[in-house]
Amino acid sequence: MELFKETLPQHPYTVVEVVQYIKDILTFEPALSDIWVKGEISDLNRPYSGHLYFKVKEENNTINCVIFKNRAINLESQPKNGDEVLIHGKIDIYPKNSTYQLIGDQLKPAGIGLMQLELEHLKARLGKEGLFDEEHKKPTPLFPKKIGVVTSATGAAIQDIIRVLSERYPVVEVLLFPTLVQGNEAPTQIVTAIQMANQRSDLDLLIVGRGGGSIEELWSFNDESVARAIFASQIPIISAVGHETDVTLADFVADYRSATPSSAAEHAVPDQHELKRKIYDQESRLLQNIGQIVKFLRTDLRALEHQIPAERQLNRINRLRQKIGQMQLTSQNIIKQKIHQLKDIVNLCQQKQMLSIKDLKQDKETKLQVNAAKLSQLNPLGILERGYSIVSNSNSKPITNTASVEIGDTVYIKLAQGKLTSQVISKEEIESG
Amino acid sequence: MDRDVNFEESLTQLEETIRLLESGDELTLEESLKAFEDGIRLARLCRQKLDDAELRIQKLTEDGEEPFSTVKDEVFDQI
Repeated sequence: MELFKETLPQHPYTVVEVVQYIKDILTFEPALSDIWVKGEISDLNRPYSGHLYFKVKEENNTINCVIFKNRAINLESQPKNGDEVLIHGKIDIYPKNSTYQLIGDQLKPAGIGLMQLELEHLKARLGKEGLFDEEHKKPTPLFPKKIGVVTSATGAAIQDIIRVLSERYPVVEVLLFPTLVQGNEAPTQIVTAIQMANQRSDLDLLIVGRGGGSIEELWSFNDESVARAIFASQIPIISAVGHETDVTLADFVADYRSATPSSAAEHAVPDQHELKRKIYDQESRLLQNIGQIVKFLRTDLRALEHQIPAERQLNRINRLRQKIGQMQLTSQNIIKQKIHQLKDIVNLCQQKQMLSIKDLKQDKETKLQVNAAKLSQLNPLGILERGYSIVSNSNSKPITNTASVEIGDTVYIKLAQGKLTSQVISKEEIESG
Repeated sequence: MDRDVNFEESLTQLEETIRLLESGDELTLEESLKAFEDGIRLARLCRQKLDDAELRIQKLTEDGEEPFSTVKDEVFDQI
């Protein structure tokens, strides 16, 4: 008894202490507090509490799992016995019967779940490498001449793209690089097509994509080699995979991500109706300009007629008058057509409600004022043409006062046509006022 | 109609012409008139090109490029 007594510890651990100690070991271990486990569901039980109890098993091993009510009701899909799943959560101890269990917060079917997990890792890795960085995004051209399309020759995507391009901007050319867009072969074919496109010199934009489908069908566009080929492309790339909600790796790397093939085509080219409106606008500016020039020339001409009625000038004046007459005829004809065309545009605008007439009008008035101001300074005849000339000294400084030259100096006279070199023979001082 | 000049170049030329005419101090009367006529011609050319254009679609094959028909082919019909 004496011996036995001696071996008795002074301070034995309590049960709570031991359980707490083991709990700490398990819960402080980072690898166990954020863990994905793959296995088959068994012994699924959902009592009134709403919590979800089950085991995940592999061969003869099992882990007890619980998903608490608030998580359980938000699961993407409700599990059943026999399902292969991926479950995410943390390992903890249930103190009442000293069992450890996995407290789950996410549950995914194993097949797609694994693919998505791998994709997340790949995405993080490529993101770190800078493949998605804004600084690498090339601008897409405003007026592409030839667009390469990498997609299936028989899918809906190419039909949608062609329809939109024909409607918006039929002056562009399309070169189709037919590839598979789903299955094991697809990524290699897509990569090859992007590389072939880059070996050409005639393409200034690429659209890479396909129409809608299941996650598995779109998966080729999550392939690392496809992402890298898009990144390496010198030609700007618009990605167009599936529908609005489908986002693939290709979309992150592409220079521009569009939700669907149709919207890719819309982004790729300008709208011909808007372009036509712009062209009409420019034509009106031309007409306003030439009208102003004619008007100012006419004023100048009248002034000339009164000031210099010499025979020599009259010929010039007659020639100018003829030209102005021509210009007026041309511009009058065009203005007539123009009014007609503008009416059409106004109708078009009203129909489509595409344009605020008020804005356009204000814009034009401003432009007209600016043009009028510019043109009021415009004197196309030039002062020299009127017979004035500029006298300058050997330093090319204009001489404005007789005091700055001496008799015998060489001076240079610039005329409207040519230049004279002269010598000062005499000077006559004029008192300046 | 000048089919060889492409649309984009014509549009750029039109904008250039207008700039030239609007900064008109440097132009003689003849030059102004010519710029005006060029501008009108270019504007019409641009519109004509848009009106006349029909989307050209080629398909890349092993032998090179061949026209691609927008008419649905057999496989497409099956989908």
